[in-house]
Amino acid sequence: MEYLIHLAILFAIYAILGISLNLVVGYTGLLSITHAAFYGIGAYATAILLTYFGVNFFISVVLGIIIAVVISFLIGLVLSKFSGDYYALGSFGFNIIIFSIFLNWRGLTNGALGIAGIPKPEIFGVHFFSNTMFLIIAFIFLAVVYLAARFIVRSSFGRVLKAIREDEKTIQVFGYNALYYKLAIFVISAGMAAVSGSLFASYITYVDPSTFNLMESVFILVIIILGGLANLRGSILGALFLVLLPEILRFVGLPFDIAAQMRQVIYGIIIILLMLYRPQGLIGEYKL
Amino acid sequence: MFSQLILNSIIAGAIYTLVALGFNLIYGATKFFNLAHGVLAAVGGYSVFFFGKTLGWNIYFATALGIIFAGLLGYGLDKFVYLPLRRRKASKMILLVASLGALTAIQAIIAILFTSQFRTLSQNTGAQKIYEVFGGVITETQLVILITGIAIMTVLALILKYTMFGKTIKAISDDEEVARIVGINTDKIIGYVFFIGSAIAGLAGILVGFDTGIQPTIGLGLLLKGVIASIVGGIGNVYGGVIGAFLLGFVENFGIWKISGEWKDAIAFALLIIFLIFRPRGIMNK
Amino acid sequence: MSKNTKVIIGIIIVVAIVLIGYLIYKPGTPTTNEPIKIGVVLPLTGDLATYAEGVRNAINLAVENSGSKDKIQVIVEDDHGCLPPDAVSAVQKLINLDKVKAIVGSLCTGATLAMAPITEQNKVIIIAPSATGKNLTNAGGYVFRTIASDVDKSIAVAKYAYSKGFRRAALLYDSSQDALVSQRDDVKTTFTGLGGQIAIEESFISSDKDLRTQLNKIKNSNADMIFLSAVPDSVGLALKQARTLGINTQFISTDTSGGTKPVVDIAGSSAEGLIFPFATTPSNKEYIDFINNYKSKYGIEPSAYAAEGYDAAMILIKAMFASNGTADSIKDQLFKIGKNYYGASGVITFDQNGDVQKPMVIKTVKDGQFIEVQ
Repeated sequence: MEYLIHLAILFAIYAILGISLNLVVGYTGLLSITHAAFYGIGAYATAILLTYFGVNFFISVVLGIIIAVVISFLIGLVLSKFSGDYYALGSFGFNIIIFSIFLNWRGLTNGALGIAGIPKPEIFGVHFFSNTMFLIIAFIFLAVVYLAARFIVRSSFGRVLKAIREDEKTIQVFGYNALYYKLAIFVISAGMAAVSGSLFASYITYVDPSTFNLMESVFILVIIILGGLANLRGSILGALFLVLLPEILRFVGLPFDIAAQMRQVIYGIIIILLMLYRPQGLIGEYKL
Repeated sequence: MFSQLILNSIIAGAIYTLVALGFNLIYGATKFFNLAHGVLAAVGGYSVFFFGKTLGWNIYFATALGIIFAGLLGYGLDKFVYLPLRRRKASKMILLVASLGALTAIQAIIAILFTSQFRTLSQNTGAQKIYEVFGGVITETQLVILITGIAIMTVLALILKYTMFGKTIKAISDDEEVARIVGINTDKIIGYVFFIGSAIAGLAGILVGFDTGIQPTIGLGLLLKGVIASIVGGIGNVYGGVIGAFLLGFVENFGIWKISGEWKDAIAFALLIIFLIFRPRGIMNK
Repeated sequence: MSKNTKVIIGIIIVVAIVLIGYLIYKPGTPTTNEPIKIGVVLPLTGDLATYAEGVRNAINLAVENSGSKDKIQVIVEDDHGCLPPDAVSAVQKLINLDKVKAIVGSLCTGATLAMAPITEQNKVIIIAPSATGKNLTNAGGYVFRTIASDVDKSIAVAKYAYSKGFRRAALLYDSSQDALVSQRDDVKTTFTGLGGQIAIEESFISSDKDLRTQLNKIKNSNADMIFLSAVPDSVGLALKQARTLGINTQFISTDTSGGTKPVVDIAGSSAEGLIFPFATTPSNKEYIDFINNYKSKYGIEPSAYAAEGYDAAMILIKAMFASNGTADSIKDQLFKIGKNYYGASGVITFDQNGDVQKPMVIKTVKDGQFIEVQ
């Protein structure tokens, strides 16, 4: 049972990441591959504030969001000048730069040594020490993020985003400042990713830079492509699938010396097959 | 000291050149970022390891095999994955993600076959032939990399400009639809382009294997540097990739000199971002 | 079928698969006839896979040599390259599904630190064969390791360097591995504490194979020796590239990785004269037996940390058979057996924190062999 709760918490974390990235990639059409950076900012914010300064978890979440918002605003300003493939590459670049900061600014993040012993959340005297209790917090956050995303998507703001995705030039003709919208959604999505990071930090109790590299951003991208772009429930489904997949493969008794690598092979082949035969993902409504 | 720094930059640039040349060629024809390009370098390197060291065959023969093998794999990728996708009018992003899947799978297969141990291809590990140039030092292998890079650049440039084949590639690069209408068998030509580009990548991996060494995971790193070089120099332009590669080599090494080695990757990508902001077409493109 | 229905069905199918797998896989209540279970968490994929394979092989070797092969079940999980969340997933599965009472793992301090709170909470023993970070000392009462903390190695080489008359050290280190950064910190503190100076510090990350410019800067500084904190491959490359650049300054590795085969394979004759710390003496019979044993079974030399993995598994197996099955009993047995225990990786005595203090010797590379320095 504990094992399943553990998986459920991981699922919630990735679902939040997926939903937030989908807002940018699926609804606005911007291929951003730097999400792990904001995930990391939230995680480190919580790690540092909780472990060194004894700040309350929920306050650290808010602070993490603020920091992520500020940094994503600056990154977003630069990225907004690009489009299509170049946007993706530029975002790669920012991910690597921020990862380098996590790794090398040892005074702040302790670098490769990481920050250990991050405490579990606590509020009004209730200490969330058990996994089951943590799961409840994780799911509450997931619900909040999902509802917020759904609200955005269904509003007129969301309609403009989709219009930008379909044809940016035309929407500008109608007087909409595309830059403002692109920047806004990028920043909102970064803030949500930071929430995931805070959950991660407190749950795993240890953070180090290795979690927030380029491949992690790619992983989150695969989640939403698999689940289906421009479909929030799809991101949830995608997260469920990709969190469970390595666990399912654990049980497929492969010979041990190649088991781990075989999982990667299967993973890669699944991606290729998906692209070949079902690029809209499981329940998506937008093909990349 | 200064001259060694310049030499280091040139050496680094030479390696990036090889990766950029292959990548640029393929990008020019297909217009998508083939992330699997890098892993073909590993394929080339490991082929030579297998034929040259494990089986003990003649090293030149093994190198030739490695190049061909890498080329064939690239060709195969196109034929079985990218081509079907292109036929379905898949977007550039789908191709990118598919190439990512290919990268993951191939890298893991190499690890299964050869383990993840870092291998060096060079035969005589102790005494390496070195040359003194203006007070700096360059090894024989590095000189070979440099010469190979320039040679391939020249050959490619000549092919693209003066042969029918080259002009066909340029036509496809300018507008694939029109090329097809005009009667060019674009699928076949692109297949050849993949073979050549991947073969060059394989060669890059082999040479890197001789200079330092190879691991199954070197692919993505090399590729990203190749991409930076290509964009900075001018994407789709043969000379562009080369210029960008050397510029990248210089910026990285001067960055290490002035700042510190651990920031090398960040510096490389900062260069990319600067160019993307101020000159996205790159140096060579108008 | 409406979209909503499709989604719900999709989710149900996936969850069902997992539940079925979980229920089928869940082992029955263990009886006394059940084999003892040892969980293993290692980075079997990723950059450190070679070392992980070595440790895993060593563990299997220990199981065979224990004489009770049929009564031991080893369950191996992958943390995908020392990724803390994956290590947590692995340990959750091992503890909750496989119901292991003890775990050997992981390779890196980070992954082990992530697992420790869980093993502590569940009273599961964890022995790390190669996690050398300082923080593990106080990670828990059930946490042990068979490798000396980085501090010991760094102090040993710093003192040695100073005693040999070196006064201006250059530091060349890999900033992407926690153990190596830790060693650099310690060697710097010790060396300057003795009165030495740091001439220059240069860093790189382990995926970067080109160290020439850093070496250049070191050559141009007035350093009279170089402390090197890197994984074996990087050590080899650093030596080889240094030789090409005409650097003849003494290299001293702060990590035992300097004494492994890849260094000689890659650097060849450039490795001659490298100084590094080591936890066993050449007269250590167990070490020699282990190497021969490993070679005859697997056909290759054991990689770095394999000997520590062998010892961890062997001591654990002995302790588990001598115990009554509870974690506290195993713990007591570990302390009992792990006292002046002559292992393949040196003499092991667990201190009250589960750490080992191993007397360090200084070794060097001569004619491609690793021999002790007097």
